[in-house]
Amino acid sequence: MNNFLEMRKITKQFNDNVVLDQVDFCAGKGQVHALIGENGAGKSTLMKILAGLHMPDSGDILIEGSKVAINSPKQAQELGIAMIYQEIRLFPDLNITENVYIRREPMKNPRWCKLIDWEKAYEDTQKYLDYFGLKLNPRRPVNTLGMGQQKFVEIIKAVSQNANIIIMDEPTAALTDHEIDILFKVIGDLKKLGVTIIYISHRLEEIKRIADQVTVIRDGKVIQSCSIDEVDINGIIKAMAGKELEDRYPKLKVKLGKEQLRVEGLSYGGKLKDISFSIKKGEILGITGLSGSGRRTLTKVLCGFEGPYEGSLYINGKLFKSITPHMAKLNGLCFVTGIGTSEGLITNAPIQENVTITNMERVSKLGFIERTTEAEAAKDLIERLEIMASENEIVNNLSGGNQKKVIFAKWLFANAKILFIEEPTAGIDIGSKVDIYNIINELVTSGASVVMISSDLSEIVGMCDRVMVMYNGEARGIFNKGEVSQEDILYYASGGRG
Amino acid sequence: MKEKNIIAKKEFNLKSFFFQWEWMLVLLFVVINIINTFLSPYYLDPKKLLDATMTFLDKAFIVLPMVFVIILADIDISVASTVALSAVVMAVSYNLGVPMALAIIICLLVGTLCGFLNGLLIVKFKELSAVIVTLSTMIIYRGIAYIILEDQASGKFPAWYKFLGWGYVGGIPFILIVFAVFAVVFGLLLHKTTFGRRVYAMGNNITASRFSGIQVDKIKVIVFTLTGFMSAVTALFLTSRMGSTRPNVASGYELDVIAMVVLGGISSTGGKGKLTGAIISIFLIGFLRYGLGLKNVPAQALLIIIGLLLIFAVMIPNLKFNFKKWGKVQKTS
Repeated sequence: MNNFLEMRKITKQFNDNVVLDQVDFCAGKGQVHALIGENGAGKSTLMKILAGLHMPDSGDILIEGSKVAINSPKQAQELGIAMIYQEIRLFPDLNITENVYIRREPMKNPRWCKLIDWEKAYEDTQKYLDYFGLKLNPRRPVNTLGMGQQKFVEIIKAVSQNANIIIMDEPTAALTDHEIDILFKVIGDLKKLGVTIIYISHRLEEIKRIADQVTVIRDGKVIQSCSIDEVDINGIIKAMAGKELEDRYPKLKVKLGKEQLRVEGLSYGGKLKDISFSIKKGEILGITGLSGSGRRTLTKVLCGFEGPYEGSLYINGKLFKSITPHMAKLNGLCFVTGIGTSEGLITNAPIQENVTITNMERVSKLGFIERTTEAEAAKDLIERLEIMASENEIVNNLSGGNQKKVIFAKWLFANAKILFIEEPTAGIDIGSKVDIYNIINELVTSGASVVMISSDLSEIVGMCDRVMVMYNGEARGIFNKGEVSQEDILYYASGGRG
Repeated sequence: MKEKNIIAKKEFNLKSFFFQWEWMLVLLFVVINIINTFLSPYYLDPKKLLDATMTFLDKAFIVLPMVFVIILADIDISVASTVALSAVVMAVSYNLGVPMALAIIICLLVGTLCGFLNGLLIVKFKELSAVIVTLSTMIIYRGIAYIILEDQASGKFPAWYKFLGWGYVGGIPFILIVFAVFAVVFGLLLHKTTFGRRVYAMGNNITASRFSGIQVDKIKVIVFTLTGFMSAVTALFLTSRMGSTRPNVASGYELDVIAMVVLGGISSTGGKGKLTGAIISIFLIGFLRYGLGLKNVPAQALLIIIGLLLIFAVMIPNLKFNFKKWGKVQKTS
């Protein structure tokens, strides 16, 4: 096979830790090459080497058969390599075009005047938007777009740099099924243009759908590299984790108790319209919908981060006409955010301090923190949630899965009774996913209720007792487990009516 | 494997302990004292050094809460105006017949109120940054002081009030003792209590703090109120030492105070730094000024030296970083 990109015997060490050990990786022109492995397997490091963020200790990179040196992200960009990160890296207050052409705006003649040719920039952006079938105005500010649309802006940015190798790190983590369909169409178009796509994902169904080639990495070594037709999903899971996974959704049957939360006719500033639902002790309620459907806003309103709202909120039978984050916390409500690093964690503080932040009174006397009690409490939770680090490890140094567990730990520490868990397993590996589901199971068996806000439909169907589907700020229906399929949910989420 | 990591970490901590900015400051402090001793034979006299502290400790009271403000990644530039306003209100009310003890309480109340107002404006109008809010109140507070007293001095305080700025207890300046007490209280508050922990958390990541249920607005208001209160404490000692007050007192104090905090290793990006660093830098700048004063070095030259020290303070952590990076590149190539 003719390889457009070839990475040969790449080795990389951080301190004493060998992250990549003689890794070979090849990708053909116009192909989608899936790169999979558990968190910490080394796939991100490999891609960061390709994108010029890290330098390999040894090994060569060849493009079209000739050796290239990539010492900086700029050099990678010049070689036509673009990386689309898991977390969106756009300037929220700038518009689509300004984001696409940032730092390389087309100039008017004479060029030394340094005047930007915005006409051309907008025209070109419009062309790309049209090509990918996106009905968006190139002058629209990025912060008014949904997560999925922002992802497409990043893709357009990469394509407009004439990138011929695009690395996508978990592109679908924050997307809904409908947006994923559009993304896959875009990827198909890119393939036709001869762009090589390296696709990092944990979602194996997706890989089966779009990838041509698969490479599995475990512990810094390539375990398997073959064509997609030659593998089956269970084979990949086995290759990734080194073990067979019995059940992907270990849902337990929990006896439901009395009602803990009731929402009646809740509206908020045109973003939420007349929403009613309730949740019982021991229950898992799923809330799903496309991005921009209001599921996140609903959570933020109920936890007191946005407001004021109209309508009634009852917590354990007590009526709340308005709520602040502090009141929500005191009444056992908590928001386990899906955006861990910016909303959930103090990243340069140790695990211990992150865990106790929600309820410091528990480890202090007269306002003075008792560090040994605090460490004990953190150790307990670390053990209970199987976090792979000691309590004084800085959170920044943890893998995505462990960071997620720390966010859970801090709310377990606060004895939260009604947990709003946003995208509980986005961007983490299958092994950690099951861990997270087990934590959720433990929560509901111990008498908490969980509201799971997720765009992963199989997770919603697999784990929830009931599902509420949202569209455009409205609740389009609440369904019991077993009464609804992923296709039905998608139908309601895209605006269909029952 | 895990065991090994923990041990390695401990060694690393010991090493980094001696490379802390606070030790650099101690070193700098010692160097300055040695230089001063060589420059002037009068310098190294314990009695005189103690007396010297009386001349610069007045503004040190504001340094303590300013550390909290800067850890929050905010700033308060209205402190000098708060000093002036609370001093002026105290002097005027005393001269209108209010008993001195009550006038002192009024002074503290005015300062506290000024700080509270700053805090309230900052949390209520999220569009306005702390710089803009306190820049406005800086002008307003000073303006009120001028309206109350016009361009005059007010004083004639009772004799016992002089004790604050000039008195000794067991041979130690009273102001030094009061400062030591406040320093311990603020040190405990910042490093040992839940309040301090929350301040650090907010400085590191205000969104995550909010999402963790920390009452971020309340804490911000408390910190700014404390700053106002301590500005009034400065007003008390400053007025006592000067014997009278004018609407233009303490001008430039806000910059001195912020300079001391930054030199103390408290990062203006928030979330980092220790109170000890700021306290060392108070004495560092104080003794530097005293020593150079003995040699009749003009005050302007001193300003240049402090400016250079500040650049040095901000640069050093970055220099270290670059050096590390450079080392790594050398290794890989």
